Amino acid sequence: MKTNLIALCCLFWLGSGFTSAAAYSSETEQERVVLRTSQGNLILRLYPDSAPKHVEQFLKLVRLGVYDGTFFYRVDSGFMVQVCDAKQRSLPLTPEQTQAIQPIPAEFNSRLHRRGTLSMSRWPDKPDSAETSFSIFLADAPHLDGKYTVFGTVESADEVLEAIRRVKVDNEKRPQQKIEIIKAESVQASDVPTLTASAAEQQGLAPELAVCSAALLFLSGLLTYGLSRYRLAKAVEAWGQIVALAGLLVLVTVMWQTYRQFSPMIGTALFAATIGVFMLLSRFESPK
Amino acid sequence: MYFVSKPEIDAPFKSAPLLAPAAAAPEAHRYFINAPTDFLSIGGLSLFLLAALSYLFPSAHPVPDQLYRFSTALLWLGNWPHFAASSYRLYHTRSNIEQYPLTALWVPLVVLTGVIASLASPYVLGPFFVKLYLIWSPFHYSGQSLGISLIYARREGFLFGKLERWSLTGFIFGTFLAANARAETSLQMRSFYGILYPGFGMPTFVADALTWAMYACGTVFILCALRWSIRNRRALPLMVGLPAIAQFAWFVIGNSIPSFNAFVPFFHSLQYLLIAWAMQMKEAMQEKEAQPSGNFVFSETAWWSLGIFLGGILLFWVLPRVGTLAGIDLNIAEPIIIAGVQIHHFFVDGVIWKLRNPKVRSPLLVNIEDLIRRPIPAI
Repeated sequence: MKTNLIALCCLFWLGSGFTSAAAYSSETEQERVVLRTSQGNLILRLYPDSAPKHVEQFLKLVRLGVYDGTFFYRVDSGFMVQVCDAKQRSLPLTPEQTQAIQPIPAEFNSRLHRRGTLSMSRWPDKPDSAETSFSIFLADAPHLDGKYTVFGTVESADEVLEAIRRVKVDNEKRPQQKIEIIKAESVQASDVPTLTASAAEQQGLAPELAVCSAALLFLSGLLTYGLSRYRLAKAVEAWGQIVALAGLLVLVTVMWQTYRQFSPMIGTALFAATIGVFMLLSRFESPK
Repeated sequence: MYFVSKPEIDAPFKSAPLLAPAAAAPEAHRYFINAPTDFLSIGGLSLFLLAALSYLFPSAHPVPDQLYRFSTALLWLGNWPHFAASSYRLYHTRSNIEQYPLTALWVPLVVLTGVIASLASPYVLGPFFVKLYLIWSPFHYSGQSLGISLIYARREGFLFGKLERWSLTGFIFGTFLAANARAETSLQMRSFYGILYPGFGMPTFVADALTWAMYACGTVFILCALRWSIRNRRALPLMVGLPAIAQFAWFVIGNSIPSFNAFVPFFHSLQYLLIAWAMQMKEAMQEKEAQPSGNFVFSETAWWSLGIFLGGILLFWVLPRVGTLAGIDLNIAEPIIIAGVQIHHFFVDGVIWKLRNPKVRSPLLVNIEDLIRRPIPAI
């Protein structure tokens, strides 16, 4: 009787374990990870059925913000791009984040290394040494199948991955501009469509049109201010100053959303415009 | 605090010769309080700290957490109250509000719109709202340093001609421009309380050119000061150049000492609080028609300090938490609301501290003796 009771309890415990694992797997399948990079958003779909421990740990680290501020430190255009170890990110890790980073036991599986595959990095001679660094493959790599843990794939359109691939690199495959993961977050699959479009696209504006509109707003502020110095009331002058400030803010935002980086000339022009607007604002509500 | 730009300072000095022979002001009127207090508040303390930290914790040396915690504690005591002091100065009398209606009534709405838009779009607009504040902040520091130099120059009898004014302005603003341009040569994302914003990726030669321009302006100003010293047979008073020296220490030398950077906002606030205190005492005395006395200064200082301390907590601690009541994550609400409060402060300071306004200029030449000692009646 006692043995039967223990066996029942064990069965119940095992059963509840399977049920919760299945529920976890199903819930996780509906989750996506958004990597907001300086080149655009990458949507990642994870494989909890193939690499449950990797997926669980990866999601945990994403939720804790461990990947925020990390960057792609290796871009090998015919092979893969690799995210740095979280300890190398620009912001120091908090004690909670540091504590959460633990080695993950290998979960080599039957998933193949194809373009878009997420594969956890590890030390070559230590299968259980994976922590935070992972790679996104740009081409098929059959020689790595079954040797590295595949735990997901890129689900979003190819253009962002392609933009990362096109970044200039040095002889050691280090990108010459920083490709940062500004923010990594987990979302529901149903929220993905709104995340893949750039801000300008979401507003239904062609990127160039958005940039031109913002530039016009900025210039109209400057013009209003310039004209009002001579003829119009003080309130109109102040309005011009405020519109120039708001226009500048919108212009910088839209340009970043559209081009994902500033060229040296555009960056210098925006910096100069910012200082110019501050100088103009130092005359705010001053007597004519 | 942002003082005057060129055209506004022209008016009071227009009739003065380029470098008028200067007689030193009476000792009492050269300082707000006295030489050591003014020296330490206006920048001396920051120079001492820079020397100590660069010796104890050079750039590669790990900085102890306690030092960062101490600098954070100073935000409560210096930085936050200084923001509250400018809001208090604008809003505490109806006449001030009526004098600056756009700044007092419309600017808060404009800033609030920016804050709400940034909270609604923390990853698209938010980073650039924060970046706007972060570039504006050292610009605002520079304006304050220039204004303080002008106040002490006036107290000391050093009259600014065009060359002196332009070279000093160029040097002070050059420190901020050179340091900021250098930081903006990177495309790297940086963080303000967790909000990540990108760099402009400017070419290095722009930063180099601005650095050379800063040194050129500094050299011209030193030559002008030497000429003044030879003509007047006395050295240029230290207090005239101290804000510029402090600014150079904050933005140029201190840039490479991470442990020092965290203290710069406190030193800026310390300058501000000395000036705002003097103004508050003088105005309160006039408003309440009080006679100069130590008791009056003590009680007025105590109430004013308490008020701006609580005001600082309201602006920087309570307001972001009010944002969370609307369901906004504190990690997003805090940086954006703090940026909004500071942008409002930059607007307010740009308006209320114009030296061209005699109501502003006159109290800024006060000395503590004027506040605590009754004038001796004439016989």
